[in-house]
Amino acid sequence: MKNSTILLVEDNPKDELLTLRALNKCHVANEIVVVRDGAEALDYLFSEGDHADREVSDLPTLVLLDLKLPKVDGLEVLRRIRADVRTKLLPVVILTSSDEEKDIIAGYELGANSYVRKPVEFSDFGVAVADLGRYWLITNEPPPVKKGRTP
Amino acid sequence: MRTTDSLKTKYVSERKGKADASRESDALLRVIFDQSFQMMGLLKPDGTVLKINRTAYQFINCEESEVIGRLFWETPWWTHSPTEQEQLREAIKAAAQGEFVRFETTHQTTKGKFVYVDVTIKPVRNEKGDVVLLVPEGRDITDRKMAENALRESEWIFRAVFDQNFQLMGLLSPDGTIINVNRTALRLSGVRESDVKGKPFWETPWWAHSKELQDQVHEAVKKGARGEIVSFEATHPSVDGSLHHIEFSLKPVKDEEGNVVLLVPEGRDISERKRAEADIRQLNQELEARVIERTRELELANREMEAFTYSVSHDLRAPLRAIDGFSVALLEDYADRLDDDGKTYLRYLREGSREMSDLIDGLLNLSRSTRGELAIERVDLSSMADTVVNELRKAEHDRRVSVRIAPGVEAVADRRLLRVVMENLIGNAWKYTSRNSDGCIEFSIETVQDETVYLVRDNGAGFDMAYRSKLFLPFQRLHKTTEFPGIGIGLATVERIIHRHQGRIWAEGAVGAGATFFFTLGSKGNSHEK
Repeated sequence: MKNSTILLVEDNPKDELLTLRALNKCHVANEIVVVRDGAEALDYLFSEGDHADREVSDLPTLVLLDLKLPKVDGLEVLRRIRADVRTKLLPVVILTSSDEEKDIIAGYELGANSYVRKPVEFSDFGVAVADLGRYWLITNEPPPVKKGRTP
Repeated sequence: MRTTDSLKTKYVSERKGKADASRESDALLRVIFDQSFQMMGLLKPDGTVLKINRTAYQFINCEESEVIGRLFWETPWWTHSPTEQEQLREAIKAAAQGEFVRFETTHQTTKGKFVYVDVTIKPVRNEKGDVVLLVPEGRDITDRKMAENALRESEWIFRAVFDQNFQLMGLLSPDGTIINVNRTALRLSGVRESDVKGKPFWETPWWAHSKELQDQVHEAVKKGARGEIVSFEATHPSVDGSLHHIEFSLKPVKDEEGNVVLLVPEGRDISERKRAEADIRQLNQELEARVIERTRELELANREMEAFTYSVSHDLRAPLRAIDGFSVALLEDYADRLDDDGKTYLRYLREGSREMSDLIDGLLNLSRSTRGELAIERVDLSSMADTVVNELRKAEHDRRVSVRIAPGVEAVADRRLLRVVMENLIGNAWKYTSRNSDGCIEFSIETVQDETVYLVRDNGAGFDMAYRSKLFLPFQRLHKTTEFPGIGIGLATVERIIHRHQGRIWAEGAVGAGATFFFTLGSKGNSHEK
């Protein structure tokens, strides 16, 4: 695999730490890039702003996307990912506290690959993150990497 | 008698030598006098009765002796009324002066009936011009009088109906000339009858304010004359200056041959109705505006509520996750540096955060149960109950509970909310049988008076019926948390969901003898005929 980066979009530093710890616990060795709001996530993915020197085609293997984010919310980030030909096949898993039905429906409608609620209990949280890592990084066959043209 | 004799003498003297002829003629006169249908008599100028004919005697059935030689006004024809006696005396006095007198009076017949009599008294003069004789005559005019009275009465009734009517009414000749207008119409517009009688209807003050209406009325008269009924809404100016709304109609009246002989215009004042209609329209508009406003307020409140619960759902959990997560991290990564008390405290931290998390979930469920649209569909409650029980068994696989679920129980309800109901009721049954060695849970239905009643029954800890009113209140619990954990929000949520389905929920139980929760789902389609 050319790139096996995981993009974690998470504004809560404690959740970030717990997610990283959980991934670490289940021996996920992939590089994990953390961005802390929706705008930065989009900058990273489309190589803009602070991430302008990044190669756009160098996409992460998986995006773990929180919904409630500063600046640009998670659903909007997802919409932009799906709207762009370069990123529309990118596996995106929504990882959020919300179990509101409308969020779940909106998430799937916008093309989320998975919707996972962050459980309060850490053991459950750890299991959920570990399951995610296993499935998306090992079991799942990612879409073939396409060389996108930089606009 | 002397006068009569002298008259006779004169008569006879003119026809000397013709005594036989005279006698014949005299007899003839007597016959004519007596056979006349009119009452007749002969009086002296002072009123003394000389002779009365048979018709007059028959009229009141009296004897000659009561009459002849008496003053006429003291005879039986007159004695019933001093007023009429006086009237007669005056009349005779006048006649004695040479006047021809005529007046109406009444006589009372033998049967006590009053009859109207037209009386004339003619003076008869001699050659010198002196009044020597009075000839009273009386004609029975009772029939005519009665007809006149009947006519007057019917005229009076007509007038009363016509004038007292609340409707504006009139009578027109077929060409539209006003014959009569009732008082209601005159009063409305402050018109005098004399001002409009004989005028063309369309040129009267009722139409003066609108040329258009005048034309319309003129046209209506033409149509009416052709036998058509015309009606339209119009306005009349009233004395106070305002315009009254009128439902106007013009109807032709035909004779037996079908010719239009009269036109009857009628007007019903519908100003009140119009005003009421306008009021209702305005009230409706205000009501609608208010409903729109309330709906908007409600929507706003709902949106705020949604934002609030969304925030609760999302943000309140994050700190709990941190508390629990880092407690675990401590327990796992620093176990060697913590003594047993330290580890116990960390466990308490984790327990606290779990309880808080349950509380948040419960509140969210409660709030969700009262908002949003119901998505009504056919729901298989038996399999739903089955799923719930399986999850409970999975979570506590060492529990031995016998569960009986009636097959094929269906409901027409909101699936998501019914799931909350089943989870709570079966979950409670599961929880409160936890101290039984022979726990038993049942889900089934009963039909009570054509209504399907769903029930969840257990043989667990039960409850005291004295406290049953507290069962469905939020945060009210009948058991200590140490006995049976819980936050006391499940049944409150269930009740709200059942109420939203127009159903009812109630419970029966006894301490140590289990509990049964019954509920209905109100709406149509929730009946099981078996």
